[in-house]
Amino acid sequence: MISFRNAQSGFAPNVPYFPIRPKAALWLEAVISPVDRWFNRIYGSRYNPLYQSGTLAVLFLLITVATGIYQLIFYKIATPYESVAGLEAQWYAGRWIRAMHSYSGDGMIVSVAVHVLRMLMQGKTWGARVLAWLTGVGLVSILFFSAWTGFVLVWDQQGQMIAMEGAVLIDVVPIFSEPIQRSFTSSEGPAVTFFFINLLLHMVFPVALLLLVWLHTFRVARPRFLPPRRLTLATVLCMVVLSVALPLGMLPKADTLQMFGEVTVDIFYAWWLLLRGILSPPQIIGVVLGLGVLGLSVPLWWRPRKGEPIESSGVHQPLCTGCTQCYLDCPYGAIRMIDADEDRTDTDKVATVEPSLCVSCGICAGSCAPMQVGPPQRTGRDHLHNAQHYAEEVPLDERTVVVMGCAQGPLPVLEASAPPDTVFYPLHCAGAGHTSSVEHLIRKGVAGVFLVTCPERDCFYREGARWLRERIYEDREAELLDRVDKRRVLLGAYSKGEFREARGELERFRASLTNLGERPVRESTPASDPDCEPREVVNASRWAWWRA
Amino acid sequence: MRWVLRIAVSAILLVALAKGARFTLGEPNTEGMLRLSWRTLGQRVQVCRDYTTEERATLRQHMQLARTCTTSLLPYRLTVQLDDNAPVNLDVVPPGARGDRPLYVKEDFLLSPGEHTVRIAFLPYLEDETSDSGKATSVGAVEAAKASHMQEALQEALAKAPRFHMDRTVRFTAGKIVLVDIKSDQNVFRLQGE
Repeated sequence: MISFRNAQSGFAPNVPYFPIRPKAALWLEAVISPVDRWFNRIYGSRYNPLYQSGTLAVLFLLITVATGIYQLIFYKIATPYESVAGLEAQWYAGRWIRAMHSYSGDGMIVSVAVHVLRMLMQGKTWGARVLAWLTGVGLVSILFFSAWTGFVLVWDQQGQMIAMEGAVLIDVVPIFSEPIQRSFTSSEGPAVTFFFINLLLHMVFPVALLLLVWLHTFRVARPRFLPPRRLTLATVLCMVVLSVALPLGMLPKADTLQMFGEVTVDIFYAWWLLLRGILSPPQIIGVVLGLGVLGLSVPLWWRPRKGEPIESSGVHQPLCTGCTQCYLDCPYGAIRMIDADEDRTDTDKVATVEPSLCVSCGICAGSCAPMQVGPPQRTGRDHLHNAQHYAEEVPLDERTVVVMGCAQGPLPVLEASAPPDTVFYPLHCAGAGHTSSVEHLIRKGVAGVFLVTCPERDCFYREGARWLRERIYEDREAELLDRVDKRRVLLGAYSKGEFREARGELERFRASLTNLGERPVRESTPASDPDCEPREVVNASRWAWWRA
Repeated sequence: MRWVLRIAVSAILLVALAKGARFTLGEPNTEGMLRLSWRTLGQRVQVCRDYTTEERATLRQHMQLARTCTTSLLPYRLTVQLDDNAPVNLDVVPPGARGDRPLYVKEDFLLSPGEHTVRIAFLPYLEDETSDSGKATSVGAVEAAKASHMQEALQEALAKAPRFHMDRTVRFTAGKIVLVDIKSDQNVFRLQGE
């Protein structure tokens, strides 16, 4: 019924899994993983800026708002260029605050680009993530509009070019009785009202951005808006140093009697100006609108092929104790506590899952001491049952180290070059595994269990790595019980590209187990609760992807 | 060592950010430009007639006025001749659904640096004179006037309409724009940036 194979040639445990990412995401991962690895080496996974792309974007937004408020005090719509030049002349503040405003805006768009790539790589574009994706597209659009209004406010050559060329594009759509571009041709320049409207928009857009950020993270539990404190401070410091060292300076004043030849622009926002020599204005409009449509339609086509449904978690309510741990642990706020049946005397509340919010991560399964919650065939009971079968089918002895961990991480590569006496036990997410599985394997007399998670700030399901760490080391429910010899359990966090580091840690772990000088205790019949029998055994063929 | 690497990589990233913020694109211009850009009301045409008794009866009580008027603007024709070339000969019709929005012109011509003879004419015309290059489509008042045999209103407007001419030699410089617009209070062309 269940066909376990020797771990050296690829173990296929009886845990249902579906490819939650499109193939293109896996190709993208092949490109990004080595970059992740290098950044992890340099910054460490906790401070790897690539893992903080979303929170860094918010931090940069806050810096631009703060520095923008200062500039607002000195800006004059009647003399825009002169007022900005006055600001630039303030060596003690205005000069570097203006540079910081601009550089932070650039940092924001770079962070957003990285964030988009990571979301695509992780396939977080569909199902319960559609709202976040669509609001993300809105955020990017508003960010661009906000930046363009800011450049125009200076009314230097760059501002003039963005205004003029933007007007040429708008004029492609014949909605105005007169071309907008004509507003920028008179020798007197645009009217004061133009700058007033731009200033107003430049203040309104960031407010819209902040509101959309809230909506963007609306459906996740415990959203983090800022990077870790050290990274936040380091980022702010970097921006200050950069702004002082390389202030922006003033570009030549806008001159409507001067043709656009060599012009200095901010390429992060004015990239579309590169197209103007290659494409006609209608074609550029087509490209920009095409990108917009492409972005909005991503949830429709950047997703696994049809027929591979997300199986929402469920709760076996008669066994629910109402402890709220699954409700607390769910990274997507998909679990609610509702009133228990009237005949329950032990609890007032029981958990229930909102299927439309569930991404089927299975982290709830690892949180539940009675092991009665989780996606079909992936509850805690199923995990324990799998571990029991694993121990029966796979040859384990006192030299064996079981590497158990997230299939999204370096496990597949690690397995390909596995040292002797090492077997592998992949999980949908490390945080989804139940500590009872670890306990069972230790009681079966293996030398140790090496738990491999993704870096906490880059967990595929947000909080799986963190919850597992706390369950192993910090007594978070459902914790690894004290009766387990914790010297034989080690947890490590690695990105997909860090298989060498993971292998090094595995070797050190094995050496430490040898140095213990004690043989592991094997219990022939580990204690188990008869209530913990799983409800169903599923077809192992669903693991074909892993063997492949 | 790791700290040194961190600082070095961060510095490289920051400098790249600063370089991107000040990216030079395009090439120096080798040509000059003649830009025609103006907006003018041109000449207003108002065609009025009395309502018939039957027409008034169909109107709501508060709209039962004695006369009805249609207002529009005369169309203009723009002709540009640069040296011996005549690159533009187009009809400029008043935009807007009722043909009552101001006329506008926005045309750019690239020219080699040096002196060029520039002849520009911006003249009103009646619809019958529409050239092959375009046809007045928004001259509701003109249509109304024809329909009601009130050609005299159009003729009167045509006689009063301002006319714009320019014929002179202009020196062009690479990268510079010579702007021709209309000095609104005097209804004459104005040349800037020579």
